[in-house]
Amino acid sequence: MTAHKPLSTWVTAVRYSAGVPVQWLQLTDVNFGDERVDARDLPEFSDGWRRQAILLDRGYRALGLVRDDSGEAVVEVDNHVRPVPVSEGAAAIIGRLEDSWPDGALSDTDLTDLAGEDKIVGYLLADRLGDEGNPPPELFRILPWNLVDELTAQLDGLLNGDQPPDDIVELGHWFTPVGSRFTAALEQLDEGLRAPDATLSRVAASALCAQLLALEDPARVPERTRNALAALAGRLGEVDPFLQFAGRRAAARLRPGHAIEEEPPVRLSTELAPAAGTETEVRTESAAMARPPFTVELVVTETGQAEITVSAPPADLGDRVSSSYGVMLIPVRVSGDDRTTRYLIPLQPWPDLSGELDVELPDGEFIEVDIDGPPVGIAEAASLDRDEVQRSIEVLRTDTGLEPWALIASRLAPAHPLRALINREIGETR
Amino acid sequence: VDAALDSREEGPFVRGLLSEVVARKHHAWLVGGSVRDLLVPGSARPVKDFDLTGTTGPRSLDEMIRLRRSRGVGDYIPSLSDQNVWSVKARRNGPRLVEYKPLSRPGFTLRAWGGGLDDDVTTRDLTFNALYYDWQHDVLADPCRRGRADLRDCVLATPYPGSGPFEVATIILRGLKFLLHCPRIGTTRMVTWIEHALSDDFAARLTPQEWKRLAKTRLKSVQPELDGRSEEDQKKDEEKAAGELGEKAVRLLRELKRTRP
Repeated sequence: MTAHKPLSTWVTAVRYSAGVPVQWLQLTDVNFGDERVDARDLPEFSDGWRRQAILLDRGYRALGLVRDDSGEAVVEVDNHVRPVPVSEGAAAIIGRLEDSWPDGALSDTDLTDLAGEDKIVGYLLADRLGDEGNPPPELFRILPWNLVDELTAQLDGLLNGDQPPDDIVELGHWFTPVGSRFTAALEQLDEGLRAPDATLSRVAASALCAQLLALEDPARVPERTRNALAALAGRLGEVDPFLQFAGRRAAARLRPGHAIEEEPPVRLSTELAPAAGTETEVRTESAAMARPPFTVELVVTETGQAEITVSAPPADLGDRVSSSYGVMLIPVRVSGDDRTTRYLIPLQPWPDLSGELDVELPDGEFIEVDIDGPPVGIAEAASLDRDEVQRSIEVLRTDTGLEPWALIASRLAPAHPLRALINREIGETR
Repeated sequence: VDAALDSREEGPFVRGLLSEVVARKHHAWLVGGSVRDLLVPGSARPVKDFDLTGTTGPRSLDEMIRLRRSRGVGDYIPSLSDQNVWSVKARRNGPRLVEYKPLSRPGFTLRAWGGGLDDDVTTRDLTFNALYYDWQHDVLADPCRRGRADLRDCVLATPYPGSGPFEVATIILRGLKFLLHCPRIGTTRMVTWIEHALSDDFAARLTPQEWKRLAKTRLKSVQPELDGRSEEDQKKDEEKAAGELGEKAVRLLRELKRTRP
């Protein structure tokens, strides 16, 4: 399919004549007067265009499209209506790629050349190809990874007590084509450490671990950057003991071949073996596993229930939870033969750090339980998933278990819908 | 407004944005359809869009990088259009999460801002869309002095004082949309205004590009109100609504039907 269409969301029409620099008029309308649409969807671009690096009177070439039969031409502009600069060589590569869009292949040389262009060129290409095709992970090398490397190194320094550099490294939206929001978490961590703001840093560190674990294809991140991010994730687990497990798992995910040394998820049969004891006792089976610093214990009873307990050694951790998390919520994944459900278990800091919930055994022959990401606290409560919160409260059996949820509700803004939901669920559960 | 700010993913960011504007000694207002929907008698609807205006320039919002970073949305995509509209999206192909257009300063060839509410209101399409809500001070402003009453009495009218054919034609299409949505809406003032504001030779005064844009506006604004009706009913209802707005509106519609968007 030949598809010479705008890569950018906006274009502006220009008067074009081959070999003559185009006069750039700053006040020209974008998208022929319709700035709300994506230029790529405009009917004007259904066919007949070819890719061109258009020379502007500003002394550089801009990404553009030319229509030879009508003499029309457009310059692609960024999200501030500035022309997208591009070299003739890069425009030719893009033109070739578009000739067999979205399946065209790029050589190593092409990728290196594109990576040397203004960062918006790589972003637009990776973003469009990610949306419309199935690009190989190597394609994402054209993104400006040096920025991520620079910020990661700065964060490592800040965690080691270095003074923050004067200039901030802006990652912006350049890495959204990769498919995870880990760069937003990196920037948030930077803000937290610069402030310094312990809660913001804690929130950002949790978010970073979660976003790194959510990377669908870590190979989209170059190896050099992956290694630096893996080291940072491991370091976060050292700074915040509650992130040990999530940080290590994120690091392992970023380094394929470096298998994480962790116990398999705790798993039990839903059919209990015949009892050897007295007939008056409820038969149970139990198993436990470690997800440092947490221990997860699963007890299956013959009444069809599963009791899940998450705990951590008390020591001084209870104080840390209160000051840093307010209420610590541990996401757990409960799986049966063909269904997985997520719950949030709030941990009580006193007398020891633990929380539990009782769920019905899932259909099938087994039940498997694992922790499903880093812990979160009250600061993140506003963005919790409603269904997850509702089902997590519904399975609680004791007033003590409901108390942390009541505290969370009290800290949410008065008009927040989760506040009403939690209070209603608490009332009904009681 | 609070419910929308608290419940939507972008809510905390928008709240932070508004606080930052105030901290810089500026004002910001929610404006447009969201305010109208909040005020519809007996049926307050949730805020759908964060459409804002204010006294600070759009670039100052663009420069609030540290705010975006600290809220964990450093990867949101800010844009500043040729129309002075600053907006933010979470993804390039996603919806706009918030829009901000500084108070307009009409009367210049360049798209200028820096006017007051009295200036800005003259750039709005309909009086009931020209209500400004200051969320932080819980104050509603009605600078054309008819917006609240027209909303209450269900009256179609415009605060636009000019006679630019493109602007008037755009407002007629917006009026058509509301007329199709609410056929009992009062049109007397609108009909009188169209008769005076739109010159007899309006068709010749509109450029081909403007016709094209008007055709797109018709598609985006009027067509959704007609969707779901039979083709025959769509034609009949649209023509009937245009007829209620007067002979010039009928002519405009006839011309637009011949224009390819």
